[in-house]
Amino acid sequence: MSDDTNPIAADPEKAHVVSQWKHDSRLLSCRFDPLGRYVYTTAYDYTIQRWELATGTKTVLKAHDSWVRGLAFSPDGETLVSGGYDGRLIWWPVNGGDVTGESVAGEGVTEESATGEGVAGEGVAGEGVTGESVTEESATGEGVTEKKIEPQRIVEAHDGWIRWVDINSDGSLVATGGNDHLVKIWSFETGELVRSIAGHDRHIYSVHFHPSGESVFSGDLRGVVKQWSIADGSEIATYDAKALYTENPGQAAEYGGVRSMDFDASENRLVCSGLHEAPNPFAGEQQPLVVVFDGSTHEELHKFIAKEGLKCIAWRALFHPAGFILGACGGGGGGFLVFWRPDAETEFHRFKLPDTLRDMDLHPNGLLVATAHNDEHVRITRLSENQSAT
Amino acid sequence: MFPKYACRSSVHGMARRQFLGQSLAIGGAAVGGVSRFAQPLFGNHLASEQKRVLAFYLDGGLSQFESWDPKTGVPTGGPFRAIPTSVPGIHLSELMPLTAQQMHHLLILRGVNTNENVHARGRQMVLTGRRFVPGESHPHLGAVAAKAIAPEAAPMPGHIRVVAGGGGNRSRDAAYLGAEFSSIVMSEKNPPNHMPADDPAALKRDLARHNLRRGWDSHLLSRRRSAMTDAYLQSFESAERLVGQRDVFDLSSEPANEQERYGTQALGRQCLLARRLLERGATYVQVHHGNYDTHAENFSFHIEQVGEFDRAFAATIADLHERGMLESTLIIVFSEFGRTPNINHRFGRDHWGTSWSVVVGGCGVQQGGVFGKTNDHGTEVAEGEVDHGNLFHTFLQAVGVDSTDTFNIDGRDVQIADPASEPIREVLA
Repeated sequence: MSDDTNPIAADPEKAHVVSQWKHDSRLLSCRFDPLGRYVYTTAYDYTIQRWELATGTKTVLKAHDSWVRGLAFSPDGETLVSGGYDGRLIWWPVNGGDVTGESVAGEGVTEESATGEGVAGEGVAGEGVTGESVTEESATGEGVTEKKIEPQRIVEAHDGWIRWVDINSDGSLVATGGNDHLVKIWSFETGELVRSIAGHDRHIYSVHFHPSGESVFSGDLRGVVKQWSIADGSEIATYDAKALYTENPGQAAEYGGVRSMDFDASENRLVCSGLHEAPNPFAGEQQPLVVVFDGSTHEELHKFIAKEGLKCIAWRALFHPAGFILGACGGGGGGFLVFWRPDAETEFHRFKLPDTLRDMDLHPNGLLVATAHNDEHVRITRLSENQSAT
Repeated sequence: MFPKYACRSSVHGMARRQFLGQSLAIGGAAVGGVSRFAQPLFGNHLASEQKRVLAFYLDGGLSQFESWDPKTGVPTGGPFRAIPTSVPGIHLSELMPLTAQQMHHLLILRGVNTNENVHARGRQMVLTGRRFVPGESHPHLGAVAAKAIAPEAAPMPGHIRVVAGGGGNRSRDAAYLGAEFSSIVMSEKNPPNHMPADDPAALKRDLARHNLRRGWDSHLLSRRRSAMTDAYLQSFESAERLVGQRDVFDLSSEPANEQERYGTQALGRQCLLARRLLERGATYVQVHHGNYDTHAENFSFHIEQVGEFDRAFAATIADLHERGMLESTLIIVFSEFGRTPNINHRFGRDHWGTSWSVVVGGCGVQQGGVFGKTNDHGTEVAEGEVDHGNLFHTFLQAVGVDSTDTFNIDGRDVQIADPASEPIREVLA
């Protein structure tokens, strides 16, 4: 495996933006498909956007009546399941749809590097990149047909917001969690409800299947993380992530929550992300916080913070195959990718992006990172010297 | 220095004789007899048709997008959908499903433009109907209403605010009207501080103390009456009236289903107390609900705050209607401003006095409608623009007060409401 595709070769200190595309509405979430062909984003206009990594071509998916924050894919990369603040769960084909009309090529930069030529010294300005900024250009895409993608299934799944969607490793089940305090397990094949699990008393912010497929984690506003048996819905364990919760009596505000979770099967660790040090929730003053737990003892192992105040929320944290923890932090302080080693409290590297971000995902190759930004852009950052966007 | 009332006007002279006569009566309820209007008969007219006001002050700036003026499918709209109400064609935010069922009792004014984005100034403007001017102090709506519509022998203070943590203290919101009309701040949790125990012996001792005080006061007041002594006297008399009504604070005496309808959270209890206070003769009650100043995570926080408000408010409206009180009670829902159409980078909305909403209902106003509108994105008023002065006039007119009338303050005629403004006649019933 060449360094171009070897996730172990990821070098955060080489991070640089290789592509950015602009939608016409602020972005909320982003996910790569499992085969690494597309990045999907969601936006304030209630739509989902599919961006072809090789060309930046955008296809818009419309069927939700509100913001969409939950995106998950079947392992074969054929199906996307989205969960919205309208309480709907929608199945979409990743490919296909009717072919009509002209394409709407994505506005933004389609790097010459996509064709194999390096774009030395050029990129989108951000820390870690020297050189001039590349202004956005639209590709007119004449003669390319637009692909309309229609939902395969719509389920009225939750009473209120769905905040997170996950699909298990064999693609048989979908997990959702949201404002009705319920974790719900659905059949991927039929869309039928398999199980509804009650046990949280606050909004559920994230859900995540254990890699074994035998259990699912759910994390709520108060930092309560529960692990549930898929077989019978019983509670297996509780993790105390209250470090991610802030109660402000003066403002009568509860703030924070388990904004994301990831599980590392090889090390048997659970990582949760969110915020702490929030003296003024209504003003959005907080610092990012990432907490790692032992999957056997359920005890906290480490906390990870930022060296200097970022005034951000750690919207997402992932275990990277190269052994570090990758975090996406966004807020009043801007947008950052933050990299922690497991044995150090503060980051060993930080990469500043042009605008605050709300979500992040890691490409299957472990070298590309997608971020969804408030300035309507999705950005692809590469964690190696190679300039390729794919 | 002469007492303040040394003007020897006929009004004050009459009131003084009345006062002295009453204060010598053992156990009598002595009330300072300051004339309330330049035309004293006005109060007598209202006595036969007692009106009252129930105001809901949502502190911090309620987002009109997440409540009364939802905009869906536009960049400024946010994630919440609009839901139909009991009035066809009128929609509210999905955060207000219960209030939506009471829409036929309400009127939304969607074209409010106060052009003020500072909390303190915005608050002062909506509560006094006048723009902030350094050095000037005007009475709040509750003080004016208490002076205008509270009967002289009212069993309850005329101006009450229900606030979490309130202990029975008086505020300073009556300005030149005098302390008699300033608000008494109460809480849903406990009776006002120093309320005597519900024990015959304690009450007997309390009454004896009052009678002793009255005797001493009457001696002093025969020689040295002033605005300060009046304020002092009024405080004691108000307190004694409250003692006589102390069971109003016992919310546990309400049927369980009523308590459940209002909800067990603080605001629900406050609204239940407000209804009980109105039933007992309070003429202006203002309930406070806070924490709407959501510069970050506006949507998550509004789910909580508006959800709490929706249940308590809808229960109150329905309850007042069922008890036949809504026809004589003006409902007001206001804040110091609304919130920005622009959603900032912290998922928040900031202060916005340019195009926001106030709601009225019940007595004296058209019901089941909307007056004014904003443009598609909610960035400006498109029709029916009104401001704080218009609102203040309208509130008073709705309860039968001629807002163009004057108070006589130490021999000087002072406009009740800003003379440069006028009521919104289209919304009056």
